[in-house]
Parts: sequence; structure tokens; C-alpha cells
Amino acid sequence: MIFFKKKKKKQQETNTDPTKGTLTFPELMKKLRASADFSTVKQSSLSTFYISYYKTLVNPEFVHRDLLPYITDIQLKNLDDIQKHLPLDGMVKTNDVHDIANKVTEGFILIQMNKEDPEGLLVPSLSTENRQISIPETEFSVVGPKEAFVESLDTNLNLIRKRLPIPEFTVKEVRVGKLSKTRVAIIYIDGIADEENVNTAIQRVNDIEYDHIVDSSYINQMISDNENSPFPQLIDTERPDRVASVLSEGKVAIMADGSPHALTGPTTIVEFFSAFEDYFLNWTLASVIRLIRLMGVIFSVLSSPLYVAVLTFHYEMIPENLLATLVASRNDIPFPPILEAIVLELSIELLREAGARLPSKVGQTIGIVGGIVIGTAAVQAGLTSNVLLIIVALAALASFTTPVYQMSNTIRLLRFPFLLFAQFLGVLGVGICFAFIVSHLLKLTSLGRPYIAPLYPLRANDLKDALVRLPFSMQNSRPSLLRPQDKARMNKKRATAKHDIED
Amino acid sequence: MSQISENKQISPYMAFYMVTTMQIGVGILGFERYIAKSAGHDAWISVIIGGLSFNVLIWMIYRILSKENADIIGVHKNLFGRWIGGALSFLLLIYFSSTILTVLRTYIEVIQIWVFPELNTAVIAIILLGLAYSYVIGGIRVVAGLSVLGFFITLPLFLLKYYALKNAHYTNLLPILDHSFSDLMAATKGVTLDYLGFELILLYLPFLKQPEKSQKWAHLGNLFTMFTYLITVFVSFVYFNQEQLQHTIWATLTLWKIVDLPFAQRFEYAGIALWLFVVLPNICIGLWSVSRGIHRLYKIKQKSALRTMLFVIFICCILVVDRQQVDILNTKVSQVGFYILYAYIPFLFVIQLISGKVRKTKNG
Amino acid sequence: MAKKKLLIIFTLMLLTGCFPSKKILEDVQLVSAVGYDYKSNNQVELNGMVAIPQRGEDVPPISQVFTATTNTSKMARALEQAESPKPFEIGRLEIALYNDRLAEKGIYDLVDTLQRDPSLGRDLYLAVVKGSTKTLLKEQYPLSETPSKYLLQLLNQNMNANIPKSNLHDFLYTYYGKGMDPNLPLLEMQGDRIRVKGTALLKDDKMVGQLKLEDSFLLKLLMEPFEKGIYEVKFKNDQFFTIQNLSSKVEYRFKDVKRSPSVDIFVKIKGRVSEAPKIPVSDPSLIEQLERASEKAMDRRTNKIVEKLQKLNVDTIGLGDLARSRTRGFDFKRWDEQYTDIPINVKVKVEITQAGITE
Repeated sequence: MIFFKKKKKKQQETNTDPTKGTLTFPELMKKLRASADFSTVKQSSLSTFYISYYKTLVNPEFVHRDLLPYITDIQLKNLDDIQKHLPLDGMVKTNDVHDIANKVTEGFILIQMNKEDPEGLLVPSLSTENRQISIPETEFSVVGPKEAFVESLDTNLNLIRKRLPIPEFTVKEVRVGKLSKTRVAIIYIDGIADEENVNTAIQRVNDIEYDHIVDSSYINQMISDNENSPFPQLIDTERPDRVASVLSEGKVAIMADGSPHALTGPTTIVEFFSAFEDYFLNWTLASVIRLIRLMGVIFSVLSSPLYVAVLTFHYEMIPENLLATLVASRNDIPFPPILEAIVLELSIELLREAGARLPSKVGQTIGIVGGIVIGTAAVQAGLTSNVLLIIVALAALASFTTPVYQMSNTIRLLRFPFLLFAQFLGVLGVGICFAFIVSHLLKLTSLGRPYIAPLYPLRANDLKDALVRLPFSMQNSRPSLLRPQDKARMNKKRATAKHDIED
Repeated sequence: MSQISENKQISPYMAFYMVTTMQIGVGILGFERYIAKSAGHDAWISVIIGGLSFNVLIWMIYRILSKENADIIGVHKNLFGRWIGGALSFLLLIYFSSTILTVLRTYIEVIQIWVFPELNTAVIAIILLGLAYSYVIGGIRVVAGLSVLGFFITLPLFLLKYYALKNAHYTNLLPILDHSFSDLMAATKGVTLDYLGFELILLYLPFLKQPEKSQKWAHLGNLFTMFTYLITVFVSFVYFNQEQLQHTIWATLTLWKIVDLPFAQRFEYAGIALWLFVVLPNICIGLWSVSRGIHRLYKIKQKSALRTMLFVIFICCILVVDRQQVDILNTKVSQVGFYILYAYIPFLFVIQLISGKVRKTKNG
Repeated sequence: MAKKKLLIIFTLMLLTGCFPSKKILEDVQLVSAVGYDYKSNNQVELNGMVAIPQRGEDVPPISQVFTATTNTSKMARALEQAESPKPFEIGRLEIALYNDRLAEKGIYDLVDTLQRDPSLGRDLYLAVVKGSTKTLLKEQYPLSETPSKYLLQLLNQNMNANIPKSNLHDFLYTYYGKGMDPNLPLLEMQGDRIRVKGTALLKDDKMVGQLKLEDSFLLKLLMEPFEKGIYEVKFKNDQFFTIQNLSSKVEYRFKDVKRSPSVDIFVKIKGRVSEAPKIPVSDPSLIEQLERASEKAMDRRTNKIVEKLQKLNVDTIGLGDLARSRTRGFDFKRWDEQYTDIPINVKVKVEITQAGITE
């Protein structure tokens, strides 16, 4: 039902699309010339022809060095002659007005024999001003590759392709956005990735209806299975090595031109808590670090709600040795625990937000330091208890250990409903809130695949790289959640062959 | 069975979790007292006998369902025709609904006794039923997922038995077999009440992929329940003596009192909150199965059936006011369950055998 | 949809009024010890000790005692409310003390109110006090911040070493259980100290006798294996030495339980000589003499204790229960009738393994 509705809508809207519909060539030229940076040059040495392009999109050097020298001193009868003489690829001869309009606005050069002639030759000359490839900032790792994606899709594809030099590496390109016409690439390895996943990804990207796509995070939200969920359903990464690695697992990646991020999916919740650096470390260390991170998440979400629950309802649960400290620190506080906790949590969020808006990373440091000063002052003034201050600060710290930025935001916001439930029903309320979140997670899917796999549906094989990371020799199969066409990663026998003592 | 599309079905091994989680409910928090009444410190033998006898019943249920290739409603229809079969199915659904009510109300009672004496029954019932609703509308996959997660979330609670074993009096279990056979049988009857709950498989079996394969898992699930009860009974028996046990209504909850973790003591508060993940799968599987049953029986949308049921259970929940009524509810529902399992299932089994033979001779 | 959600939120807001009332930590008065004193046949004086935290980080809390007289302890708490600025909560109760006169009358009713309260733990200590519990709780002790903390540490320490373990659970276990009787630590106030006097022996819930501290150690030997404790033995004329228990084991042997039962109790102690002035302990032959001497002394004393228990008709060791666990179709009634006359023999075996780090 919904599917049909969408289609109908799309058909209706195509008519109102301003770039399509009836447009004559002179009208187009008039529109183009309205811009100051559009120029048409008449060349007339041996034969006459016209060159039109956007000065801001086309590098003038290219026109003068790589284009004109080849065609100025020759007798030219028609466009085919020009095409013959130019040593360039990707030229299109067309008289389709829309095609001309689209290409010229992208940076093609239009060559005509006659100014009013709707037939023209489109010569590609994309001058893309690129940022240098730099070090990954949000997913920094101490060891391992130091490349991050940039804003150019071609550069980004290059970064991935050079890591997977195989013909099966497939890139499907779609243009999305009525105005921005952003190039969106869906990347996968043919023969490994499940076709259903690929088709889902392509179809969802195709179904996007929006005027402009600025960043891949737009796409992330638009194609996610549940738009209302606070949990991100696709991983957003800036590391080409990570993308290459998940592609070889059988996942699908989606990249948009102009965005230094790739989306990968289908994802499971455990992936959001694994940093790519885990694979650069020995598996024992990596596993311990993952477990620590997991505990960090649990602590981050539950510590202040439990504080509120215990202090509000269950004073019996406080350990003997802590009771005196807690009572002493709470003694003069004018607020009930819930208010105290919310105020402190909000002020930490405030600091974080302020830190994020400050221009440099220094801003964050200053924010945290400022927080400590404010916190100490608040404790001395008797507004909050120092025990809670420690808890809240540690919880904030723990939430930052989550390697994926979107997820760490989710984690931090998740504690507010917990706080509310703790205030009304104590520890039981915390349990109830947890149950609500579990019900949400159980229903959530990522590109149609269950979100909390491999915990449910329980896949023992996938657990090897979930909460812990076992050695590479044991990672002999690709995650079964992705239903890869080729399940085996390697020859298991050779990888796990046992050697005798002196072999 | 073939009318259910494959992507709505769940793996056969889920039978393990669904059987165990349905069997272990609120009863385990205080069932030691009842079974020790007749067989004393030998009641653990009854736990084993009861558990093993249920394997036979599981086998019977699988036989009944696999022959007709349908759920119990289909079986009833095939064997007794539309009207009588429908009436039987209806009665069965009422029994299942009352087990949901019992579990829910008893859990609320536990909360009211142990944590929040002044908590309003209606409030907590609304919250818990709302919670259950959010799971059940996700379908059987979500409900089954809850039972898996609930299983693993509550599994660590076993470790808490360590605190009781520190103060154990192992001589309490001696001498073994100091009670007569009839005492043991009486205790076995008491034990069976705690194994009730797996019979919902009568309704959800068609949703398991390759039901034949799932039978093994159902048996294993039952054995796991037996193992859990055995450990529970064992620990309670060595920690309390028989006379004290008779004065202890919630033995397992009382055991949690002595848990003294470095970051929290008096574990029963946290334990009762965690127990939500035992109770919730119970309620959700129940609600799902019964609403599915109503949907099959009366061609009502399952969603509307579910909503109606939630409303009815909520009303019944408020009507049960005090502890005595909760007790009565528990015993009555358990008794009915006992007869359904030990009388009705074998009866159905026999009828089906006979009717199968009759059909054969007619055809042949 | 939005309307529906609003409706849900609105109902939830309405329901907030029905949520349980809060017991915020600093808004309640946590009672950490209670003492019951005998007033008259039907009346009990209840003293609740609360530790009131003081402003500042390093200022210790001061303790206050609230007193009320009533016939049931719940009522008494209600009475206390009248004097206290904050409502009382007994969830953190650590110690319940019973005045010796009260203990002789029976304490079950008072313990029962404690065990019924779901907010109370099971590791609560019970103890019998010689004299008034009120004066004991009211005193400020220099050894610890509050009397309750002092008592807690004192009992904890002593139950590891000198006196049988006993908390609320153990009391109820032995009170309800057949073939066993409870015991409780016996305390006494001496100046600004509290002393563990020994063990109070109870028949059901009534105190019928008591044991000195030295005898409590021996009683503990008879009841449970443990690893601490010191016992002093006289060795020739004015020579004394003390044995520190490193590990002790106890074994019971029952004979002919059904007709004319008799019990042998074997206690094995591994210990070391911790103090032996004037005795050259490095001499191996002497060690054997010391072993024999301590065995003899302990034998005599433990048998006396057992005799005393039998005379008082209390089965503190729990022999009845042990006999039951070894006998099919055990008859408690018969056992109870016979208990006072059963020949019980204690045999102690001492093994001295070391004598300190110097020779």
C-alpha cells in the first residue's frame, strides 16, 4: 500500500520539476547567460565555432592548453571533426536541451558550430577543487592508516578501490536531490554482498525525495529503517580502511559526493561499540578494551539513574562503608536527588555542546576544565553532592569512549528517560525503562536486517567479533547476519593448522 | 502449517528459550515451601520426577500437533468439529489468559510486598501491560527475542546462590529418601505446578521453522527448567531448615537479602527489578499466543484481539485486591493447569489415536 | 497519532500521583541499633539509636537515642516519631539488643517483628545485654564514632574468633529448627567500653543460661570449624601458655540413636603456641607435653560445658538435628525426652604445628 502511494507521488512531482519539461535551446542559453560567470567565446581562425562554459567550474588553463590548440588551426566542417581531433574522453554530441543543461551546470564545455544550433558537443572538464587527504579526526587511531575521506567522491572511491583491487568491487551511481543532483555511490563487492542487501540499499537511495543532499548524514536519516529511533542504523565512518574491511565482510557502503563520510550497513548494535583500531591490536587487548568500553556504556547510562533510584527509594542498598560518606555529602543539599542529577547532567551536556561549537579541539579541553571548576564550586557551595559530581563526570567520560559519534550522542541522551523512571519507580523503574529500550531495539532493523544481532537472533559464529574480538585465525567466516554469498573468508584448515613442537 | 510465511517464523532452537522462560515465572521465588510441605528435605527428588514426567507430555503435544500439522485450534476443529472444537479452544484460551493474569498479578504482589507497599496496582499494571504491548505488536520474532534476552539477563542470578552456600548446612539434605513414596508423589504434584507454562507451545508451534527439529530443544528447555529448580531447591534446603522454610514465604527472595556486593547490598530490590525479564517474556508469549488463538478462532484482527485482552486482564488485575485472593488465584489456575496437562493432553492424544485409526479403516 | 501520544502522556502525568512515596536518604532518620529493656510483664521499653550526620566532611556523626514504652515494638516506633524531626526508617538496622531480664522472659515476639519487615536484612546481629540497653546505647564511646558502629565491629571481630556465629538468620534457623537451640552473644558495658561477656544459651526464645568467654570459644569448637581464637592452658604449677587456633574441625559420631543413643564428639585443633613464658617451646618433646596438657584441659572443660548444656536442656550444638540427618525415621520426641541423659563424650586432639618465628 505504502509503496504504491510513494510511486504515485513521485509521478506527480516529476511534472513540476523545473529542470525538466519543455525548454527550448534559446531559452536555456538565456537562462545560462543570466549568470555573470557564464561565458561564450567565438573562435574564428580557419573555421568558426562557439565555446560556452562556466568560468567558475572550468579551469581556463584547461581550455587554453588542452582544448583550443588541437582545434584552432584546422579546417572543421562539423562537430564530428572536432570530436575526432580532441584527445579527450567522455565527449558527448547531443541536441537534447536537458542533457546540455545538466552537463554544462556540472562543468562541461559546450562547443557549437552555430550559435543558435541546438546541437552541441559537450567536453568534460571538471576542475574539482579538492581538500588534501588528511588524518581522520573523529575516528583517530594511534596505529594503522592515517587517511580519511575528503569531499570528492572520486578521490574517496580511489581510496577504497586501491585497497580492494578486484573487478568484483562494484560502484553503482545514482543522482539524488532535485536541486543538488548529488552523485551517490552504492559500493559493494559482487559475489560477496547479498543481493537483497544491495537492492535494498539501491532502492532506498533511489526513493529519496528531497531537494538537496548536502552530506551523507542526510542520506543516513532518509534511508534508515526507523526514522524516529534515536539509534543510528548505519555506521558513519571517515576511514577508507574501515569501509574496505566491511565491504569484504559483505556489507554495502553508500557515499555521497561532497561528503567526507561513508555509510555502511547492514549494521548491528555491537558494531557501534567497536573501534576500527580494535583490529590493529592483539586480540586479547582488543577484547579487553571492547569489554571495558561496553562497561563504560552501561555505567554511562545507568549510574546516575541508579544513584537517583537508590537515594530516593532504596537507602537499604547503599553499601555499609559508603553510607556515611553519602549521607554526609547529601546532608546540606537543598535539592532532591533527581533535580540534582538532572541539573548536573544538563550542565555537562551544556559544556559538551559549548565545547563542540568552539572552533578548535582546545575548546573541548577548556570546556571540561571549566566544568571541573564549576563542579568544585557547586560542591563547595553545597548545591550538589560531590559523590554525584564524580558519578556524572565519569559517566560523561565513559560515554565518550563509544567510537561512533552518533552512538555516543544517543548514549548520553538515553539516560534522561532512565532518570525519569528512576525517580518514579526506583530500581524497578530503571528495569522497566530498560525493558522499553530492549523492545525498541528488538523491533529495529538496519537495511532490513535485525539490529541487535548477533545477540538476537543468536548467532554463535558472529559472536566471535562482537563483544570480544577473537584472533584472525578464528574469524574464518563472514558474519552470517549479512547472508554473504561467499561465506568463507579463508581456508580454515590452513589458518588453524597445528604445528608440532619442533616443526 | 504452510500458510505462515518463512520470514515470520523463528528458528527451531527458540523452543528452548520459549519453553524455559514460560516455565520459570514468579513461582520459583517461593515454591520451596509448598513442595517441602509433604516431602520435606527429599522434595528435590520430586523436582526431578516432575521434570521428567513433563518430557513425556512434551512428546505427546508434539505428536498431537505434528499429526494434524496445525496448532491446537486446528486440532480441536479437526477432531471435534467446528462447534465443540471451538468451545474447547475457547476454554483453553481462557485458561491461558488466566495464567497470564496470575503471573502478572503475583509479580505485582511481590513488588507490593517487598519494594513498594503503597504502589497502586492499577498504575503498575498499566505500565507492565503497556510494556508487554510494545513487545507483542512486534510479532513472534520480537517476543521470542525477549525470551532469549531475558534468559541471558537473568542467568547471572545463579551466581548469587554462592552467598547462601557460604552459610550452608549440607546435613539438611540427609538422610536421603527419608520419606515415603506417597509423600514424594504428593510433592511431585506440587512441583508440576511450577513446570506449567510450556503448554503454550500448543499455539505457537506452527511459527517455529521445522517443528520436528524444535522438539529436541523443547525437551532441553524443560530439562534446563528442571536443573534450575533443582539448584534453587537444593540451595534453599541447605540454607534454611525445614521448619524455618515453612515460615518463609519467598525463600529465594529472602536468600537475596544476604547478598552483599561491594557496590550494593540487599540485592532483593535489584533482583525483583531484574525479575521483570523473567515475568515479561511470560506475559508476552502468553499474550501473543492467546491473541493469535483468538485471531484464528474468530477471524478478528490479532491487534484488536490483543488490545481487548490487555483491557480485560487489566480489569481482572485490579479486581484481585489482596494477598488471599492472589493465593486463591494461583492455586485455582494451577489446579486447572494440572488437569489440563495430566488429563486433557493424554485424553486428546488417545482420541487422536482412535480417530486416526477410524479414519484409516474408513479410507482403507 | 500525535493526539494519542498526548493522551498517553497526560494519563501518565495523572498517574504520577499514584506512584510510591519517596524515602530520600537525607529526609529520614536511619535507626542503626535498637535495644529492648524489660519494663513490666507486658511492657517493653524500646530504645532506638540513630546516628545523625553533622555538617562538614570530617566531623563524625553524633548518636541519639529515642525511647518509648509500649507492648509491641511497632507501636513504640510510632511513639518515637513524636520526638524526632524526621521519620524513622529501620532498613539500616544493624544491631538489636535485648536486656537480660527480657531475654529470660522470651524475645520471639520482638524478633518476629524484625523478620517480618521486608526492609530489614538478615545479617542483623542480635545480642543479649547485661543491664540496661538504654544506658549502653546512650554512652559515647571513645573507641568508635557511634555505639552501633562499635557494637558491629566488636561482634564481627568476636564471632570470627571467640563466640559462635549468630545473626538474625542463625537465630531464626535455630529457633525454628528442631533439635537445636539458639545462642546469642552476651554483652556488658564496663565504663566506656563494651565487653563480650560470653554466650547466652536460649531454650526456644528464653535465655536459660550463659557461658563465659573462654567457654564460648570451646562451644564454638564444638559447633563449627573455624580458624581463629586463643585459649589459655595451665601447664604445671604457675606456668601458663596460650594456644592460637589455626584451624579446627569437629566430627560427631552417634551410636544407637533409636534406642539408647550416645554421642562422641571429636575435635581436632591445629594450633600454635602464641605465648609461653618460662616454657622452652623449641624442645620437640616438650611440644608433645604441651599438646597433651592442652588436650587434657580442653577435654575436661568441654565435657563440663556439654554437661551444662544437658542440665539446662538446651541443644545449642544442634545434636538433635545432626542425629536426624544420620537416622532414617528419626523420632524427635523421643530424642528430646532422652536428651538430658544421653552420654556425650568430647575428645579433643591438639596438634601444635609451630611456635612462632624464633626458637
